[in-house]
Amino acid sequence: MTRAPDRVARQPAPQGAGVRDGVPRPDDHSFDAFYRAQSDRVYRALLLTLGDPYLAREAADEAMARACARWHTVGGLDNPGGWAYRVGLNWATSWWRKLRRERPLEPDWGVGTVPDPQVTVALDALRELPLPQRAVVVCRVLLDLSTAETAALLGLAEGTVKSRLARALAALRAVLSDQGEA
Amino acid sequence: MHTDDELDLDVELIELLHRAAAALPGYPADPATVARRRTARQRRHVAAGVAAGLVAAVLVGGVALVGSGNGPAPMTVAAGPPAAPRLFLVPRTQSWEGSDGRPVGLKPVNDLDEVLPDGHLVVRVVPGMPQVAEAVTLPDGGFAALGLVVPPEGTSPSRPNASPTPAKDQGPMRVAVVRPDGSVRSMTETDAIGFIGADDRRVYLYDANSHVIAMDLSTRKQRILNWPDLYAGAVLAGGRFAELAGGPNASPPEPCHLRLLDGQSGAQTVQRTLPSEDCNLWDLALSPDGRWLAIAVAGPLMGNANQLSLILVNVDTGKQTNQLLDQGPPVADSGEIDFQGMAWLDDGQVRVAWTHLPDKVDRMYDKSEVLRVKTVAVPGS
Repeated sequence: MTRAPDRVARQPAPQGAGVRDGVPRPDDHSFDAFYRAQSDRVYRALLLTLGDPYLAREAADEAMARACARWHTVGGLDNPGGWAYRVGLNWATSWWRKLRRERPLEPDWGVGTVPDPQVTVALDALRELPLPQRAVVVCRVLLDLSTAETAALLGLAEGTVKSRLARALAALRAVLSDQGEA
Repeated sequence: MHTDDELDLDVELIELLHRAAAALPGYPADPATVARRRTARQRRHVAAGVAAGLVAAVLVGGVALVGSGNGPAPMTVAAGPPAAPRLFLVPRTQSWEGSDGRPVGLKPVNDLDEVLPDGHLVVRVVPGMPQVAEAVTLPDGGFAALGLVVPPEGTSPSRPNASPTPAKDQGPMRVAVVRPDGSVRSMTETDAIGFIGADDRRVYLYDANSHVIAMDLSTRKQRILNWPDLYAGAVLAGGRFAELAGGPNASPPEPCHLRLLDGQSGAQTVQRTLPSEDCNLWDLALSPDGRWLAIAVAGPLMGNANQLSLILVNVDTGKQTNQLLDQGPPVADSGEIDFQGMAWLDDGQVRVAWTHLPDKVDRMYDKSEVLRVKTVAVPGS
């Protein structure tokens, strides 16, 4: 078929485009470029939060499908990857996705044996955190969001973000410290 | 690395968490999976041409009758007035693992289901297209189908709300133009992922970047129209395109915008503001005369609603009605409602089809067992 020039790619870069917190944004602002650049990152963030490879996969698929359907708005956001993470997280934790499942959400990263023992310890430590705390850790650390951005993304008060992060970090440090002493 | 001084994390811990994330398995999906999922979410059904009424709809129902319905025998429809839109259903799999380990839910289908005006459910087989994603009525009484020509892989019954297993190589999507007698007139490769509608000359589709693709029914040539990118659902009827556009979350306070575009030029002719929830749609269908827009909505986006409502908007006056068609309990494995399709019978009546699973889902159900169809009239008709 005859393809017209990609009008999306020729549009001026949206505000905030370029390099954000060390994560390069592609010059091409089409959905395809976003998908190539961000889908794996969004998926890993969802997997680390949800602890279920299948659920994370479904959530990432759903988030990407919604982003695709609304790309000319989502693509103009300052942080479309964060938006996709939020959509995927909401989708996965909504009542009918969650309650339908026959078993509770107990993290099983689907990663098998990890050669790096420190990583194994970190994953074990994350496994022990409640999901809301993992979500805050993922936003603050993996998605490089500020407290304010995390609060906006997760629909929380900034104080809640801070307290959840503090509790999560304390728990992580305790586990890692115990492991280091062992 | 984040330099926010609020972040009370040492560098080693940050790096360790990044390494932990990197050790996780990567994202296994491919763009085709997302495209199919998007297609399943945002069904567009044709509301093309001038309504020819119930009789014509019955006549064009006789295509490759395979299913359980008692529809008419296959026949060829002579040239006449354009056909009324046909009510095609979503070929969607929805199954999961029950408490005893066996799959429960809706039996998967890969062909095209259609609800005849008399309520019978029939299956349309598109020769050479074993997996049909969606279809639109053509004015001659046939239809165009979008799908894959490679047999689909199975869907794991242990996976709830299943989308198709990622394809190894299912190839590009194709558009099949099907005659009223059920034979395939053409099969054409396309970059499109969904239908917008059809008129007597062209089929309109959209691609993953929301460009409008017009396929000439005579030459099968496709070209991207130099129109504004469509977004969040668009249908074609009565010389008009309709589009609903909301914010990224389509949630308050961001409203949902209805735009009408001229069917020839793509120029915007009308814009109205609707409640934000109206953008959380299953489907749109514009009446054959282009005056009424039917919006099947599922309730607040990402909310807890297990319901289906139909909003009818007079696109010229803004007058609208909202009717709750069905509601199920918000509990697990219980009475789940799933939109299946929508089509106008004429300028004053629209048919809506959905499935409503029983309160206790303990086996696989045929769609015909749990299908519900309702005809809703526009106000004052």
